[in-house]
Amino acid sequence: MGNPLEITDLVYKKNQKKIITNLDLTLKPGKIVALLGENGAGKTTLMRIISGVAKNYRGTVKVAGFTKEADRKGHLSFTDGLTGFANSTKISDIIKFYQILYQDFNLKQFEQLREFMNLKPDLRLSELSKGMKEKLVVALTFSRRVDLYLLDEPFSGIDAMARKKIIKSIILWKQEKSTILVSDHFVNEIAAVLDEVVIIKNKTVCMQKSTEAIRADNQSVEEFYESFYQREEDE
Amino acid sequence: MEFKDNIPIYLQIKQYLYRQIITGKLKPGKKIPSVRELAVQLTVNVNTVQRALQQMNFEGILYTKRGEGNFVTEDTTLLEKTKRELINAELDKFVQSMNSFGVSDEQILKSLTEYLKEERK
Amino acid sequence: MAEFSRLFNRFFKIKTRKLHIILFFQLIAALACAFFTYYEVTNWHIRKNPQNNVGLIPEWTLYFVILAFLVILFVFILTPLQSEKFNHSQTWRLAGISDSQFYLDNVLSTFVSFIYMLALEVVATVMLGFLSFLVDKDFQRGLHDFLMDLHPNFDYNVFWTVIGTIVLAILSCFFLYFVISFFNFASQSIIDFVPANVNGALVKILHLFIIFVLIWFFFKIQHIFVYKILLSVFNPANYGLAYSSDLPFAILSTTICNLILLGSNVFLFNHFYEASERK
Repeated sequence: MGNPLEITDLVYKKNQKKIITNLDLTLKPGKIVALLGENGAGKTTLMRIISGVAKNYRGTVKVAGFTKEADRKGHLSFTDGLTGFANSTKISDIIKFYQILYQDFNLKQFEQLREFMNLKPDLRLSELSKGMKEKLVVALTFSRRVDLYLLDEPFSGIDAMARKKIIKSIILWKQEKSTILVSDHFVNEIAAVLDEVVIIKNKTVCMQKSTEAIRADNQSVEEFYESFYQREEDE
Repeated sequence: MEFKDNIPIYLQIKQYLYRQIITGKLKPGKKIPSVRELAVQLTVNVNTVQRALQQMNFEGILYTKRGEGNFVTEDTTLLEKTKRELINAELDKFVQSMNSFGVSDEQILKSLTEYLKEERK
Repeated sequence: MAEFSRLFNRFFKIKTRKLHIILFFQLIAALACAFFTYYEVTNWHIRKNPQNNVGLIPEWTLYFVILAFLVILFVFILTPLQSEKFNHSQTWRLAGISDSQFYLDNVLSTFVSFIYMLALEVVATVMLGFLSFLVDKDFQRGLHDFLMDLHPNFDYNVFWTVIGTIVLAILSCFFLYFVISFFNFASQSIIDFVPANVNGALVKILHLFIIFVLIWFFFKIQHIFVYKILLSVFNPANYGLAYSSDLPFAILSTTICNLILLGSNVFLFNHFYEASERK
């Protein structure tokens, strides 16, 4: 089996506008990696391409050694906004959906995560606050056993307590060999749990570096990240 | 436990564990929390904890029992040495900052004795 | 294959969820219609309508059957539109299954849930008929006379025409599904392709415009394809067949059109039609 993720020479255009150009990215097993970049840098698009729900791209995308979209989807778990459900859908119905659609969905694990996050199963989607929904999405994503987890801005717009809960759940429930790619435009809170940072700028990956190597240069991860966007403003 | 952002976290984890051992929160010959427990407790990456523990194993302050986990050494000389190192490091910081205030070594001694006398009252 | 049937089950469950409620309302509505035909309400007094000579239960059955046509038409149009929502939904498309299988699952489950709706209607009608038969003397007699008048003589020609018509109906059903998908996929792919310097409202208008152009173009092509190309190749007259073999020709041409549409839909779905993050 190959690396959790291997992307070579990825190009993606939409409406005749280049969104990603010549992007290469390899992630090794067992890592927690941040995908950093400004809003609109293409983080979500990249995750959607990896998951095979964005189409018409060029280049190769391998997940756990598989290039076919169906296999890729089977070996990764992507935080989906649950937009395919009506607002009146109960959490228990969503669980049923996941159980049926994903064979690797582990109900016991979900129940543990759900309790850890203090989510009641009889609630409906419309009754969830933003933080609760974010927690539910993360719980669902981590209840699958896969090689690659794609977390698309799981901390956007939620309070510090919920954030801490989600981070702790990531540490607790991550399997040894699986790799997590978590996108954010903000790195401070998660810096301590990261192995690596990947920075997207100018439609491609401009830097991939280990966080401890950054700190060994007496730099904080945040300073390091900001320096990339600083440079552009200076130019 | 808050970590400094610009110092490798595995070094800070080591410092944290030394302290725990010297202050007796982790006792000689006793098992320390598992890698994952420590990671959750400190909200840090499991790999980083692993790295810190590996180094401490290498230094001898911890030892591994296969399948059981990591234990604090019972080697008293090594523990003493570690304690001394920790004290020296703290003193280093103290003296350096005093020096930066323009306090001479002799004055440091004097001030410290006076300070301790005041406090002990 | 396991994935295929699991996804199918999930689609089927969700697509049939509302059908039972629709059937329930249909029963209530038919009963209400029957009630107000059978009785007359004047000045808050209810009395039997003197002009009406049909029993309440047969009346109910009759209204149910009339409403059934409307309801079936409604479901027939609604279900393929609903399935386009699934095609567009990221939540669903993340399922670990190939796009081709996903699309087939979606189309087949739409068809099966429509058949399920037909079956529900038939069962309900038979049950109401049976109820009428039990409680209503006139209905019993009427049914008896009707069955006596019926002379069941088996005619192969009629048999084949019925079978052929059923096959054609099924093919046409899929034709509708495929055409709706095709317009949806093709127009969205074009929208994703053209340079977007326009705002949201304009994109919507452009989208509609593209759909209309596609519809016009599509039927033009289909017309030429069926009447000029297919008919010249498969003209029944060429094979010494009579006029009555229009039905096989219709079946054949619809099958070919369906296959072409299915092929292009699967292609578009695999390579161009993206799932959306939004509702």
